[in-house]
Amino acid sequence: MIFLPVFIIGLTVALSVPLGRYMARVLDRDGPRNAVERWLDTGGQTWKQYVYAMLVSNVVMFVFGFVVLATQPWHPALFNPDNKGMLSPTTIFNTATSFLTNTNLQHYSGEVHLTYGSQVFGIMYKQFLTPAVGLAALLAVIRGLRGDKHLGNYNLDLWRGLIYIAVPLSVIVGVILIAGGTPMTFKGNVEAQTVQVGAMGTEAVDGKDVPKPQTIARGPVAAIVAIKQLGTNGGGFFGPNSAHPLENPTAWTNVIECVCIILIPMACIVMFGAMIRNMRHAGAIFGVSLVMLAVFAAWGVYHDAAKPNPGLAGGPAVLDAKGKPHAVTTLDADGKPEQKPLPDHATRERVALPVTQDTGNLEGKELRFGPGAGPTWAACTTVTSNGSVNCMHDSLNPLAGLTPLTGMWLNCAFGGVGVGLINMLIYLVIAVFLAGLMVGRTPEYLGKKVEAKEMKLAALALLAHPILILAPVGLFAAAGWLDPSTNNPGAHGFSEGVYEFTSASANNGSGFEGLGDTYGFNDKDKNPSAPAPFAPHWDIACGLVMLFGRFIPIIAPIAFAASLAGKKPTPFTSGTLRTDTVTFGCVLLGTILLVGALMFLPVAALGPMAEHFGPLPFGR
Amino acid sequence: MKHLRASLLLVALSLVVCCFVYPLVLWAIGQTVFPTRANGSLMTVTNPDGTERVVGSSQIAQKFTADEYFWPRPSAADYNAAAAGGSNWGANNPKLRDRAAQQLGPMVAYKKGSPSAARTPQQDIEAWFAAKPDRVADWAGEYSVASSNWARTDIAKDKYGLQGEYVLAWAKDHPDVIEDWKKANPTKTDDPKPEDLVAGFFVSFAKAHPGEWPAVRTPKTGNKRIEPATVEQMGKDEELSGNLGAIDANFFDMWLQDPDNRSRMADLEPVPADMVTASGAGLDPHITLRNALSVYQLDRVAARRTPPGTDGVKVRADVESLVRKHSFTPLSGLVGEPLVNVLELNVELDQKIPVSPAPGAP
Repeated sequence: MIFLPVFIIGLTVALSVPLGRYMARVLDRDGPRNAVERWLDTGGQTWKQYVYAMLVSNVVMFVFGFVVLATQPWHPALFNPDNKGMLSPTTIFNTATSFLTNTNLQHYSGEVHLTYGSQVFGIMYKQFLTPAVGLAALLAVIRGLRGDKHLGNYNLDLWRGLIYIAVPLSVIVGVILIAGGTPMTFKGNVEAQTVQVGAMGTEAVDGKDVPKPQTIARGPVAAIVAIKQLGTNGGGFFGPNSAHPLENPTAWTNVIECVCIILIPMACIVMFGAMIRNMRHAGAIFGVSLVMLAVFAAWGVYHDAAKPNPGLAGGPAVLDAKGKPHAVTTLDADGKPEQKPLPDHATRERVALPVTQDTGNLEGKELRFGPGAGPTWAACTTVTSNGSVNCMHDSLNPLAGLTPLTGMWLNCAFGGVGVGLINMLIYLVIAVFLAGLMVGRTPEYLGKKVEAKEMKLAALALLAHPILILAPVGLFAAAGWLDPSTNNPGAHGFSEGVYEFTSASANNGSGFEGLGDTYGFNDKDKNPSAPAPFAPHWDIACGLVMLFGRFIPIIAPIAFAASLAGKKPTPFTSGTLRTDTVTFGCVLLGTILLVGALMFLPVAALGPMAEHFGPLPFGR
Repeated sequence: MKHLRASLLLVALSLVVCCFVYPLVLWAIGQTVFPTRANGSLMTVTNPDGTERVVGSSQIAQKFTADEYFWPRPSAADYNAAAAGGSNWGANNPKLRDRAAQQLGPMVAYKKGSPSAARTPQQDIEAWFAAKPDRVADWAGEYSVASSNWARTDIAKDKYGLQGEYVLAWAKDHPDVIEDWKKANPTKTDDPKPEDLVAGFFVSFAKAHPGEWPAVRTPKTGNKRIEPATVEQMGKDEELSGNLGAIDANFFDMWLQDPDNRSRMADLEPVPADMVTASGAGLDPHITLRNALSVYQLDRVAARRTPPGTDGVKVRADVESLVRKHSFTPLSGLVGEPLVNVLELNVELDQKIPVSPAPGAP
C-alpha cells in the first residue's frame, strides 16, 4: 500500500532531474538553429508581442478544433468506422474549449460520442499543442525574471517543446503502452459472442431471438493515452479514462502512466533552476511541491485504502448526550416548523454488511493496479493539472475525496506543464511580500524589487481562481440547477458541483463524474442514456470558467515578469531575504496553506467533511 | 506578412508531426510487433467447422450469471464495452448499500459449523418476513430509495414496468393513497408517479394483504402478472417461486439491522469486497483469488460441474487447481493480492472440465 506511491513518486523524481536539464538545454536556445526554425522564427518579442502571438495561435486552434468536432457526420469512413453522428452545439463548445485550455473536462464519453477523426484531429492535436503553449509561457516568464532583453520567440518555443519533448517522449510511452495491451488500431468496434450464451440478453433478428453479442470499442488508444498523460491533459479515449482496461491494462502501465503525469511538471522546476542558474532556489520550490504531493497522496491512501467504504460498514448509534435520539425540525402540513425525534431505525447502531473490506474501499477501483493505486493517482493528477483518473473519484471515501479537491484548490504543487510553475511563482511572490513586510524591507525577488504594480498582478492571478469556483457554484445551487444534476444525495451531491467548477478553473479535467453534465449527440434518441437535464448550462458555464482560468493566470504573470525585467537589480546584502533556504521553504508552504485555507476551508466543510460526519447512508 | 507565414507554417508542421507522423509510427509498430494487443487482445475459439469466432477480449470483463461459471465483479455499465462507466456512487448514497445488500441477500451463507448453520440465512429472512404482517410498510418507509427503485423496475423510456403499473392501478382503486401523498406534498402540482406513491402503496397493501408480497406470477404461457402472495405460497407454487429471491434481496439489510437477529450476525460467512463492489470502468476483468476460492464461487461452480452420481471431491480439486494456475500478483508480484482473469478462466474451464449433460439429455 505504501510501496506503490513511494515507488511512483521516487521514480519520477529520479527521471525528472536529467529531463529538466535536457529541457533547459534544448528550449533555452537564442535564435534559430536549423532551416525549419529559421522559417518559423520572427525574432525576439516583447511581452505584449509574445502574448499576442500566443492568443492568435489559440484562436486558430479553437476554430480548427471546433470545425473538426462539428463536422463529425462527414468524417471519412477510415476515421469514423462506427458511423457516429452530430454532437449537440453546447457539447462541441465545451469540448473545443476544454481541450484548448489544457483542461480536458469531458462532457461526453469518448468511445460513445467521438469518431476516430475527432479523437486524433480534434482532441490529440490540442493535447500536443496546449502543453507546449504552457511551456512557452513559462519560458517567457523565466526570461523576464532573469532580466533578458526580450522574452524569446513564441513560434520557436512552441515548436521546440513539441519536437524535442512532447513527441519523442510520447513515442516511447506509446510503444510501452501497446506492449502492455493498449490498442492502436483504426478498426471499428468488434462484436464478441459471449461464452455464456445469452448472458447479455437477446435481441430480435429477422423475427428470431438471438443472443446479444458483447460490443467492444477500440481505436487509436495508445497514441492518445501517451500524450494525455505526458502533457497534463487527462482527456482519455474512453469515458472512464485510465480506469478502462484498454487504456490502462496492467499494474506496470499504471505505474508508467502515473509517472508520466508528474514527470514534465517536475522537470519544469529543474529547468527553471538551470535557466536562472540558481538550483538551490529551484530546490526549495521542488521540496515544497514534493511535501505537498506526499501529504496529499498519504492522506488519500490512508482514508481510502486503509479504511473500509463506510457506506457498507457499520456505525455507532447516533444519540445525543442524554442517550436519546436527536430531534429534527421539519415543516408540518401548514408550513409551521415542527420538532420530531428521528425514527428509531435512523439512530440505532448500524450493523455492517458481511463484507471483508481489508483492502479498503473497492467501489470504483480496478483490482489490477493494487491497493492504494487509486488515491495515489488522484493526488498526482490533481496537484498537476492532468485530470486523468484510474478510479472513480466520486466513489472515493468522503475524506479521501479531499485529496483531489485540495490538490486543485491550491493548484501549484508541480502543476500543469509550464503553467503549474507559474501558479507557484504567484504564491512565491505573495510569500516574499509577506516575509518582506514582517522584516520591514521592500520585498525583493531574484534581485528585483517587488512593488505595488507587481503585487496587483499577482493578486489578480491568485484571486481569479476562488472567484471562478465559488461564484458559479453559488449560482448553480441558488438557481436550482445543481441539485437535479447530482447523482448522490446531501453533502456529496454538493461536492460534485464544487468539484466540477474547481476542475474547470484549475484546468484539471477530472470530475466527480456522477454529475449529470452530458448532452451528447444532438439527436437525443441516439444517446445511450437521456441527456442530463441541465447539461447545456454546465457546458457553457464550465467552458467560460475554463477560458478565464487558463488565460488570466498565464497573461498576468507574463506582464508581471516583464515588469520585473525592466528594473535595475538591487545588490545582494546580508539583509536580503534568501529564497533558497529551508526557512524560506517553510514560509512558502505556510503561505500556500494559509491562503488556500482562507479561500476554500468553508466549502470543504460543507462538502466532504459534512459527508464524513453526516448520516451514512444519507436519508435513512 | 512574415509573421502570418510563420504562424501558418507552425500550424501546418505541427499538424503533420502530431496527427500524421506520430500516430502512424505507433500504428506501424503496434501492428507489426504486437498485433494481438494492438487490436484489443481479442480471444478466439475455433468452431466445429474450423472457422474462428471472437468470444471476447482478455482485458475486458464479460457478463457471467450462470452457476457453472465464475462471476466477475458487478458492473455499473452492465458489461457494455462500448459505453463503459462506474457507478459514481459515494459512500453516503443509499443506492450503494442497497445494491450490495440486494446482491448479498439471495447468496449469503452461514459459516460451516456455526450455531445458525442448521438453516440458511434465506430461510431465516423469509420466516422473519412472514412473522410481522406489515413488514412491507416498514420497509417502504425505511428503505425509500430501494422501494422507489422497486416501483421503477423494468422502466423503459418513461413507460413503467409491471410493478410501477401495479402501484398506479392500486392507487386508482384506493384513492386514499393519492390523497395522503397530496397532503404530504402540498406544493407539488404534477400527477404523482409510482415511485412517489410507493410508500403509501405498501402501507395500504399491508392492510389489505397482511404478511404478503406483491409477487410476480410467471406462467409458462401467457403474460406475467402481479398477485399478492405469502412466503408459504411462493414456496409451494412454482410460478411464484422466483419471488423468494426478491424477498431475500430486498429485506436482507433490514433483517440484518433488526436487533432481534443480532445473534446471527457473527455466523454469516463474510464476502470478499470485490464481489459486491463495481469497478471504475465496469469492465474489470479480474477478481481476487480469495473471491474465486470462496464458498460463494468455487463451491457453486464445482457443484454444477460435478457429474451426477459422483461425490464431487475430485472435480472441486480440479477446479481449484485450475483457478490457482490462472492466478498472478500485479506488478510482477510487488503489489496487492493474487488475482484471476475471469474470462480466461471460464474459457479454459469449459474446455477442461465441461458441464456434464443433465440426466436424460442427449
